[in-house]
Amino acid sequence: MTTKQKKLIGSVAALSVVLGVTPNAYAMHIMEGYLAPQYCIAWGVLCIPFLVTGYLSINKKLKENRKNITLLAMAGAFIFVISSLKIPSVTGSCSHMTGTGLGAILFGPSAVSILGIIVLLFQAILLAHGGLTTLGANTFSMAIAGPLLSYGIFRLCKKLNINQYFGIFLAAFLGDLFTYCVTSVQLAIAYPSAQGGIMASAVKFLGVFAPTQLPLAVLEGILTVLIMIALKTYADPELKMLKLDLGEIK
Amino acid sequence: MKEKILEVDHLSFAYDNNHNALKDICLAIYKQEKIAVLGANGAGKTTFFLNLNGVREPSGGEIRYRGETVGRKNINQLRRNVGIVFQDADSQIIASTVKAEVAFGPLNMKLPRTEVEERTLSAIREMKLEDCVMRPPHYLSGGEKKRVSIADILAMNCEVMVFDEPTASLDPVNAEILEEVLDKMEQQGKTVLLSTHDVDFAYRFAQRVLVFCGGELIGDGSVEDIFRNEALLRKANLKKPVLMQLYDLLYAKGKISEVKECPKRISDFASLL
Amino acid sequence: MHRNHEQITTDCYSYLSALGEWNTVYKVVFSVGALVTVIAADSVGISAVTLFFMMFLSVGVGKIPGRDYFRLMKVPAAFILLGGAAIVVQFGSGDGSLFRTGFFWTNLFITESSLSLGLHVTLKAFSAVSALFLMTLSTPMGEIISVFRKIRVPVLILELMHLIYRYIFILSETNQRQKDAAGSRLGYCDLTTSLRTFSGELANLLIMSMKKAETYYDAMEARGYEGNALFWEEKRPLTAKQLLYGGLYLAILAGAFCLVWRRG
Repeated sequence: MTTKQKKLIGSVAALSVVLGVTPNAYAMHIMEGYLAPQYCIAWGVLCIPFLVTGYLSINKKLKENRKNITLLAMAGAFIFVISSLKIPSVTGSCSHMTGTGLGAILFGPSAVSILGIIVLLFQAILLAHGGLTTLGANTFSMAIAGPLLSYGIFRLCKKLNINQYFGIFLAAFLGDLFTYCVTSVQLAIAYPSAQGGIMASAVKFLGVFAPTQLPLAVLEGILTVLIMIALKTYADPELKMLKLDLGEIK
Repeated sequence: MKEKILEVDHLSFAYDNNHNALKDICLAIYKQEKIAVLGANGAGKTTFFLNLNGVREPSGGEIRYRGETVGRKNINQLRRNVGIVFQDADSQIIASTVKAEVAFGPLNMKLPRTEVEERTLSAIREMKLEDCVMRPPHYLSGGEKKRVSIADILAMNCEVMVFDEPTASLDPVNAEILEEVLDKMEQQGKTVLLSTHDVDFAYRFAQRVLVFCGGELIGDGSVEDIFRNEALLRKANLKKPVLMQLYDLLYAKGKISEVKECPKRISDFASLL
Repeated sequence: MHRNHEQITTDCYSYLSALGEWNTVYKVVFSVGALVTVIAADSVGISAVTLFFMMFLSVGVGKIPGRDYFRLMKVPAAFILLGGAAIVVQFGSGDGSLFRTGFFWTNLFITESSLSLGLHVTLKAFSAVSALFLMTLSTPMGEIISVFRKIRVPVLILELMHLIYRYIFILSETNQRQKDAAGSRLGYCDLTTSLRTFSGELANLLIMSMKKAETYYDAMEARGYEGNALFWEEKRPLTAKQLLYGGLYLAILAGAFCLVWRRG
């Protein structure tokens, strides 16, 4: 184990203890029934241009090589599975990664938008997280906004020659944080405060979810880095052999 | 002379990393043959099977199906007639219920709905999976999954059936079901190829044995010839079947009289004594 | 049934439910229809009626064990509690509130309308979840996907859905084995080791899944797949009995609407 890894693990350990206070920390899926029809439709419509772009890019990848279909499906299943796994903790609490940052870095944001909406649909159907009517809003925050930001930061840090792992951390951490902010704003628009309107309401939603979401975002960032380190150290030749042409991994 | 179904003519195959997985393989497969394919791990058996079905395109040489060279145009004809049961059932099963899974092949053959259903249900019955028809693969046991993967190919009613290590990880009961199915295939006039590490099983089942080593076909002959060829067995990391060893031992001690062919089943062997 | 996939909660019920025989399209329309009714009507009466009727259908008719049903209902509880709190509690000057307390430079307070909105939204959310459960606890994923095909979702997406569904279970089984194997070698003995093991497992799982993807494609191709996966869809007839339940729900809804409307 390198000292860098040790430090990272130490900080995750501390965070897990903090997270132990809260019972079950998932990413913030807006629950079924929480949004009025006009918002469900509006957020859904807002997703369409991104989903169409994603669809076209996936379609192109498949035209190049049809075998990419199983790779893409594996990527989707992988995102679902990591988001359903419990992060180990001493207190027996359950916190879960969102996997959006990792997904965006590994597979690229356009593929992740389509995989993301499928994963969110499956989470609603199989895990009762999120819902059908709130699928548009959740897709926007978790499969589009978050991954796009993650990917942008990842690329930016690369360009600016910032330490690779710090870049990955920032990408995953800020992507998570951004998702949480977008979700809070979505809720605030649907439920503005009597006094202070949407702004005040957004502050409230940010406030109540902060204790679970802030540590989760840090945890996500660190775990994403740990996973990337692991990928790099014991699988570098394999990654090359795989020709993971779905995204950027170096 | 028996009907020639498949001809493999100077077939070679290389994966992207330039490692030659198959080198210059020449052989012909006839109707109703029962062939065991032996060889160490990584000897090229699976790659050979994938080439036979057309999932892999030969990098050199060609495969002829009933005299016709297989190319891009008639590849589906080959796939319809040569079915592969993959070694890892999980890698083969894709649908969300057993019935949908078994129907996948027939649906791809563009058969009418009634025939798809008929074939599916009869394959399910044959593999004794009636209790699992509407169950999803992820709630099946390993043996059940293996049987589903065999039913998959049965439903396609292929002329040539290829089994990639069918006996690996099967319990005795499931292995017995498999052997029953193999016997039935013989009666139906199918050609069967299977790879295995179990020489006793190969000895019992096959008439002809192919031995692969490092991507080359180093042995092709009758069971007797192959298992009598000590040098070949050593080269391919194989051993003589137990019954053959026992026969040799007893014969050397004069406890048993010479026969033309060493018996392949325990019951036949016992009647020799 | 195996206890392999505990984290994937609703899946096993969809294969066991007595509502499995119902016509798939009808069931999905029923469930989504109720869902849309609940959020569009936005009324306590409709929400309550729907919640009870859906519970009756899933537990009473579908024979999902009641205890399991309530356990599943608890999944989104954390979100409901926090989200509800954010709606109920306001901050600002807080004139005319039921309850008020100072909080740094401002006040936190609850008004009658915010309280009733919070309770109402919570009820509505549970009611919507119960409507969703009618579908998810009785309809296997393959059949849900067949409904997406009928509404003309692109084939590529349908294919991805089929494969992702299947691979989810393969990957989670593999991860379970990884976890057992790592655990047996003390990989989860303390927190730091656990976290290292956890991330290592995931990295390995990714590599493994990407490697297997090619074999999986070969296996599909070997059975005649030509870039357009065809899946068997079971035909499930629509019976009078099924329609009767729908009619009953509509009648109850109509009754509830009348009551709501008369009260103004």
